[in-house]
Amino acid sequence: MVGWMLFLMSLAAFASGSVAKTLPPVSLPRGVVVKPAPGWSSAADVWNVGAGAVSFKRSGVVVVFVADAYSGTSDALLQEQLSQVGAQFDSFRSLAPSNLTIAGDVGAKSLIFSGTAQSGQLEGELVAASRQGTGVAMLAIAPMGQLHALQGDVDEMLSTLVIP
Amino acid sequence: MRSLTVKPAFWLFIAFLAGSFLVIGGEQLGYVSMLPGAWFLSLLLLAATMIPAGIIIYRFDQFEPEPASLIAVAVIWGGLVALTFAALTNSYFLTFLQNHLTGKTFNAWGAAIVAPIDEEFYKGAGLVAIYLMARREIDGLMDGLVYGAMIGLGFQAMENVQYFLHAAAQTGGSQVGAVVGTYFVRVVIAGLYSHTLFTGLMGFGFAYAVTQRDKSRARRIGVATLFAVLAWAAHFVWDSPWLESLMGQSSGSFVLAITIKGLPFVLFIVILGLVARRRERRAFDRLIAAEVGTDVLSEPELRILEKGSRRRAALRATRRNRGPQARALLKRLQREQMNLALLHGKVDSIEHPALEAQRQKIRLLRRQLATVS
Repeated sequence: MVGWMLFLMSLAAFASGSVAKTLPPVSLPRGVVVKPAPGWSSAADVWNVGAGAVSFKRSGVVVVFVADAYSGTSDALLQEQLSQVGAQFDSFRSLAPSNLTIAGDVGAKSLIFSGTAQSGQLEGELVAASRQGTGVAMLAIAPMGQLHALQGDVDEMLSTLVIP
Repeated sequence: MRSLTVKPAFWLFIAFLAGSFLVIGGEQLGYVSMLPGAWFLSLLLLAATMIPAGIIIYRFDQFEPEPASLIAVAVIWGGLVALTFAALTNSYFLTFLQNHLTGKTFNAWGAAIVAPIDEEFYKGAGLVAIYLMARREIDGLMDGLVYGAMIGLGFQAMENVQYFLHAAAQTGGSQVGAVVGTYFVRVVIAGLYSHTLFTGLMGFGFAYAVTQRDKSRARRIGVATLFAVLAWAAHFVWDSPWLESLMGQSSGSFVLAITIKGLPFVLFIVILGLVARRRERRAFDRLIAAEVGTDVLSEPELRILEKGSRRRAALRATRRNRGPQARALLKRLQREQMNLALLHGKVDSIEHPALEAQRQKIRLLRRQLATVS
């Protein structure tokens, strides 16, 4: 019993380590820099987000970072992004926003959501921050129940984000 | 219970239990503090279903009901030990697959690959543990079926608590509605096609391997392996995305899809149960044959003992005609007459003192019953 557990634990550790290549940091408008976590690759093939944004994927989870000039509050930016995201779902619900610190010392607003879209039941996290005329938003989206496995990577990318 | 404590397997079980209790206990405490109403409702709903289900499974073995202590070990093994180990290994296995499958394939097949392998393995380990604790208690195919089903029932109950509470935590609306809705889908509609069925299948194969000693070792191992694969297959089919499109169309098509996925396995285990019961009845007839027609067991009494429905009818008639005390005495008499058959299987001679003592017990009960008006 314990042997099977240790075997799978080693397999998981090996599998995670063996593919842990790290993409170089990506520069977005207004000096914002995203540092992908080890093991994440470009998601341009599944979600082309266009200029001013970048997307990464790993194991079914996709994250998108977008940066642009923005003069409103983090809360307002979050609500704008939320309405855009929600419009893509057939049914959608989100929890109340909470405070978060990203990029070292930048106050941000975050919420988690779930919903049903054409591709099935999905869950995700939306984070928005506004500082000195720059707005940054991060959307992480995954099939239901699978985001938590890579939540550590998402948190790492948020904390290592550079917002001038 | 005292005989269990001298077995190393029992102490291994206790060690696993202590570790599992820390994991599951901590999780349950979290549920109670965050969602107390939903947690209590979950327990209430599950108790209302699982206790009767447990009694039905327990009574299925009508000639030799298993000891309550071992039944408790089976349920606890499923609900705590197997669930904890399976939760950990499922997580590791999924991490491994996440790195080797595309997101779409992983999403569709990840659970179907991982859960049957890990969960059936750890539930099956419970059968081995019980066998090592009390080899003599697994002496028929029915015993394996009962212990396997009980392990599955424990697993299913605790897993359902997790599902109910996750639904309650995620809902934007009523927690009660989320719990009741999930209960309806997982227990009322799909409850038959779950761990009780899977591990019951495995238990049947395991019991075949350890009890059918007149068969070749290769055949016994082959049958045990076949039933382990069947248990795995039933679980795999259930978790697979097959018929998912049908499930999403309407409530009727949802029920149709899960019926197609689960009913063949349910029918199969029902047939196995009937076969096992028939074998038990034949064994009972063979063992008790020497006593039929004596002052401890008459021919009509044998006919009544052979079927649970006839025993219950006799008890009802006795209660109606002679009152509850006579019914209680008759019930004890029936039990002791069945125990006499079991004793025949454990001793070499029909003159054995243990048999004679059992006959005396029956005669005494018969006299007491005769005095109750």
